[in-house]
Amino acid sequence: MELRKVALLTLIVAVLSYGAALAGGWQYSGVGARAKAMGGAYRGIADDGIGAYYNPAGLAFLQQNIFNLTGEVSSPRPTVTPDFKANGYGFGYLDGQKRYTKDNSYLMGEASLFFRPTKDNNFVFGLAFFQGYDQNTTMNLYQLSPAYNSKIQISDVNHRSNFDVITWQPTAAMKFSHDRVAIGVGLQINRGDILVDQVRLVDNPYPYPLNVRPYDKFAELYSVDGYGFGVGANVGVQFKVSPKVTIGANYVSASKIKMTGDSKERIYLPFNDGFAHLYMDPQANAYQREVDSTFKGALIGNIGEFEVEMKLPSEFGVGFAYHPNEKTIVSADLVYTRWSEFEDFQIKFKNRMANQKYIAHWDAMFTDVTVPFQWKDKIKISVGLEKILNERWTYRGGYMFDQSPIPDETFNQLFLDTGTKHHFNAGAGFKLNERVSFDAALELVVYSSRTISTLADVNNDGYWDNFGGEFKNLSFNSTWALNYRF
Amino acid sequence: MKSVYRIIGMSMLAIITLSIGCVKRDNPAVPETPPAGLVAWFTHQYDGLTGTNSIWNRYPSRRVAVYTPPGYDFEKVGPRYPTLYLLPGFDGEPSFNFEYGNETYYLAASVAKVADRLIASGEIKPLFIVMPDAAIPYGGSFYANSTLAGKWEDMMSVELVHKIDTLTTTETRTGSGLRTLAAKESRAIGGHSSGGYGAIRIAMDNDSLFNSVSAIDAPLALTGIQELFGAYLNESGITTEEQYQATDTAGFRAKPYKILIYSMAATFSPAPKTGSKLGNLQISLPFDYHDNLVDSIWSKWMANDMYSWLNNATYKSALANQNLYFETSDHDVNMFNQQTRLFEQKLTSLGINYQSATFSIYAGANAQSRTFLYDRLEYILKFHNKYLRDRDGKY
Repeated sequence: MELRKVALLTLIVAVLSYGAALAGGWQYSGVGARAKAMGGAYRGIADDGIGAYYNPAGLAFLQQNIFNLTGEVSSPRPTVTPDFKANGYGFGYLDGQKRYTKDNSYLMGEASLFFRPTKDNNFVFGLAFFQGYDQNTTMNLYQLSPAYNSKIQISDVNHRSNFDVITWQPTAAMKFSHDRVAIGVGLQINRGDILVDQVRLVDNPYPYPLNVRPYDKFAELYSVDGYGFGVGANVGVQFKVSPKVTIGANYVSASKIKMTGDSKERIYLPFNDGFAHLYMDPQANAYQREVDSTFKGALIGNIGEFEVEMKLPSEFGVGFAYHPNEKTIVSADLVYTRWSEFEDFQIKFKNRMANQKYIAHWDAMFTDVTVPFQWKDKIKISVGLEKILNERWTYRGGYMFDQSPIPDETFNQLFLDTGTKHHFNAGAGFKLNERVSFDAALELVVYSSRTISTLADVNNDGYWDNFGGEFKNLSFNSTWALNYRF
Repeated sequence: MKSVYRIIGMSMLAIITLSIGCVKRDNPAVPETPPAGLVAWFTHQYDGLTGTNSIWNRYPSRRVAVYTPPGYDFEKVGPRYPTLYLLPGFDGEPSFNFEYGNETYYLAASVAKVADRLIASGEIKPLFIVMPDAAIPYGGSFYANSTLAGKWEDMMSVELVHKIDTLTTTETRTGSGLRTLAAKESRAIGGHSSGGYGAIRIAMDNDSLFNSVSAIDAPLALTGIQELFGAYLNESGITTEEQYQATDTAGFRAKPYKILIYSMAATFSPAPKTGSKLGNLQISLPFDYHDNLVDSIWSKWMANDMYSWLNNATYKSALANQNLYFETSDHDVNMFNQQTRLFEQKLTSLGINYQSATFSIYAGANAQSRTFLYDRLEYILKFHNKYLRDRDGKY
């Protein structure tokens, strides 16, 4: 009976893992309904299945075997008002218009299953599955300039970023020293997904007068869609200083994920009948005919494959939990994330197939993509409160202060972490019986807005790396969990 | 019972939060493209090109582009509109065909978009914009009268204006003539680079034709051109008299300073044919291979210097009677921006009113002032709009 139950729950975790891989989010504010309701101040607690995310050591204090199933609904509300200009000159971005993401809500899932196999219950092992990173926006921010006069309209999905990292974390924990000290180790198997559509402005390689604005920059829409895997580790320790005070710490290693997939590169060429007139002459040479073809408003491009490496940052967190009485927990965490390890995306295209390669400048126009980050190491501070009201109900509240690591020079619509975030959390737990309980958490994330007024090319590759405009964001999240103890 | 209330309370809180989070926000509509005007082309055989030198003018019949405002119907009787004459500069690149005015074609395709937008927004009144091709085989005409390259000043002023005001149905190939307002108050002239030089020159020589004049980075104070003579010698690798005399138009497309200086020489200092390659082009240069000025030739160039023309009471008076506007950039490879600023200073010293603006470019592989012509035309059109009288007598 016990074996069948284990098999069934394992199957559920596996199925959920697969399903949630289709969801989206960037470093998510936390996982688990109980932990999120407490603002993520959980490293001194972490004594349930999803605690494996915060501090694997906390699992050593499980009271029973546990299966946890969590669903999250995330509703980010970003607003982008492009002002993409250099020295006052625009390029076709929808300057001055408020633009919203096309998607409204995203579903995510988490699950965990942990056992205490030994008679002394000092050792715990199992599997946690969660999605720690998510960024997901789809926006129409660009329109080919009317003066560009292209016969082909650019797709209205011209700025999309969907980055996910989901993690399977087999974890083991044990306690010793008369249950005062616990350590935990988790192996993180990370799957990263990348889906990007983005306009970038390619220098027109032709000389004057063929390169006069608005033809000095050609609009390129590149798309990549792929995934890959990487590994990392999450290790933690907990120490019960006294019956009322527990301190905990964990370290998540950096993890490099090599992603591959399909790519498309499209350049929208302008239509200029003036230039076309130049080459109506039957005596036109090959170059003139090429120019004539180039300025006919065609869509040229490659389809192929790509590869890119994404390095998730390492993270170190400490926290404490204070139990002033049996019904109350006050907690606080401090997390230091080494975002400086989040390496530039070097998107390398390969196995390209061109649709019509008549342009001598083709290779100069279609280049690999570098997305520089130069992010800064940042901290998160969170505090939480849990109050058991009666044998069925528990109330929780929390707050998190979370800095944006992105400097103005590389801030763009790919990652809309506009500024310092204030997370306000509240939630409740309901205990149905000794085996089944439910947790819920609601979260409001208030972002500081950001205005980018100067375009920057931090790596001097000829492409602007940030995105001019005003950025605002607000996010509503709800988390719902079922816990089954056995 | 309390549990029920708590469940209801929590559920309502969740529903409210989720509802706010899930409210659909519709993106505002992407702006629509404004109604488009039409660019019509016609061909004109200029009187001033007949019988000119075959090296410097192979095509007496030249194309003229005319922008007509949105809704203009060649077939029907309708309102008349004012006219802006927009004179292109010249420049090019290897393999490009100089025998057609490159910038004319750029302007024809691009200015229309600026005008469409400004007319749709009511920022300017509907107007015609005339863009002639004034290129010569090895550069541009500078819109001056030359025995070698043609009587471009005469052609671009009296002859072209008359032609535009009397254009017939057949010539436009679109069914009808242009319904222009044939009066000084409804005409303007402007230009970029050598086109700006031409606009000022024509305005100074013809004060009864145009009511407003503009120039963008134009060579209006020719002493500044001396700084480019050395650049020409370096560009062509000239260090001896033999090399100086042995240069001709070979490879000129890759040599921008040669293009510029030969064009000016064909216009300002034609010379009798001699035995050397340079002499065979029938031009003389105002400097020797040491980069020393040749005064006798330089004086011919200075006779075409607009800065100097301001010392002439007639020219000064002609310009003072017109509305003037200048644009200068912060990066002009030929430093014509500095020449325009000198010209502005002279106007100030003479008490002649003018308006001016400066513009900065953004850094980029190919960016220089001419790259931004499209953007600056908005300001040029807005300026002239203030001084163009429409059919109701309004400015």
